[in-house]
Amino acid sequence: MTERAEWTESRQSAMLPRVGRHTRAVRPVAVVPDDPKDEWVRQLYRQFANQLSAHVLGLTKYDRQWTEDVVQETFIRAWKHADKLDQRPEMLRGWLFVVARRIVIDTHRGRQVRPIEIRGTDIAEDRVGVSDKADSTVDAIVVHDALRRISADQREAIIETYLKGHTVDEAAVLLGIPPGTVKSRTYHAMRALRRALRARG
Amino acid sequence: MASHFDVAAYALGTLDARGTEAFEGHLASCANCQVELFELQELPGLLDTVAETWPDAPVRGAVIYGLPTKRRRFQHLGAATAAAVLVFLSGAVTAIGFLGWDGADPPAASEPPTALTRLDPVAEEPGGVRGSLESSTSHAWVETTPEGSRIALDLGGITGSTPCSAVVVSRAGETTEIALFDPPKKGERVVVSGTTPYPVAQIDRVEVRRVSSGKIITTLKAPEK
Ligand SMILES: [Zn+2]
Repeated sequence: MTERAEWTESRQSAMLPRVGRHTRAVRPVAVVPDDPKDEWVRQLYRQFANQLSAHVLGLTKYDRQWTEDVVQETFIRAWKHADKLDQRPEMLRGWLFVVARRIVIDTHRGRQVRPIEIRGTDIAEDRVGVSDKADSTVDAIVVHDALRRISADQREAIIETYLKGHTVDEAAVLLGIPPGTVKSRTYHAMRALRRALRARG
Repeated sequence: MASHFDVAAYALGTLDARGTEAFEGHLASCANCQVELFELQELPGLLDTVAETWPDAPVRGAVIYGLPTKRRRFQHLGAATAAAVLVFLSGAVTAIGFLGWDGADPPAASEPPTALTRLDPVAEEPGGVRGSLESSTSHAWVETTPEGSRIALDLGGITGSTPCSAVVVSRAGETTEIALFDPPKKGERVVVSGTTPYPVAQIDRVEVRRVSSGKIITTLKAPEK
């Protein structure tokens, strides 16, 4: 029923300008007017704001304000990393897309008003390719099963960070191991879960 | 400094602000980590489900991926052969069920796209089915949304092992990537969907490309009316 309410809002917003036609300046441009990065990020915005907005709209379920905030924050972060960013279009696009997804999830955590699931159907959105039946409950059962079967160290890394809501550094203190070890165990655990999902076929 | 290993913690969002910024700097020039993030992106949501009942197993059929209370099936609008049925949630973002494939081997992907039928415009209302695109191996359904359009693709003949993207090209030549996905197992089809900011009438074609090389694997084309 939340679905219905949101959909009604979306219909109303059909009167607004189309996505990607933002005229609002990206914030850093105003903050540091003479920085050579400004023109670069303006170009980046012109090149990718459209497709990034469309992508983010799918993640926010057509929440336009949220989408704009996420897109803007993504370009602000791009501006911060202007010197490091590989300038090939596919690399720039890939970076913008994955960082925007991270921002959507992170900002969602602070948003209690509008529950949104960055899971299940949203995943099916982007990546149904990995699962024939698109049955996410089955996928969750596979992940559960795999999580029980990986090494205790790896399982602990996932549980102490993601499941219990601690950062890597916090978990490192709790577990009495270096943060780098938490990260590498998390990495191997995640690869194992991913393999289990793929093997389900 | 950030390393490749941080990619998993980043995918889970368990890095602190400084770690996140450092990893995003690493990600700026690391194609491997970008690809890994796409591969890992479904896991946080699945782990959320696992967390709800941990250490017990998730209850099958419970929850979250809540099926729509109101379903609408997409009709096969073109000369569709795949038994793919797309189930759209009421309105915007949706679930997709892939119910099977008729068993025949899909033709090779390299065949040129064939002509297709574009439906006559129907009422300009969100959710209205507005058209279809096709190639020799694949079908696309297009519907109007408040933001532009939504496209569901049922793709055959997608081979290889590295990620692919579906890119919508507008008549003005603008492009929007609507989906990233892994090729299915040999002989199987894959169903993906996504949204575009373009109205249905401005959509020229959909290209499926190899992410690594940009090579076009197949093109779904709408003819001029
Ligand atoms: Zn890396």
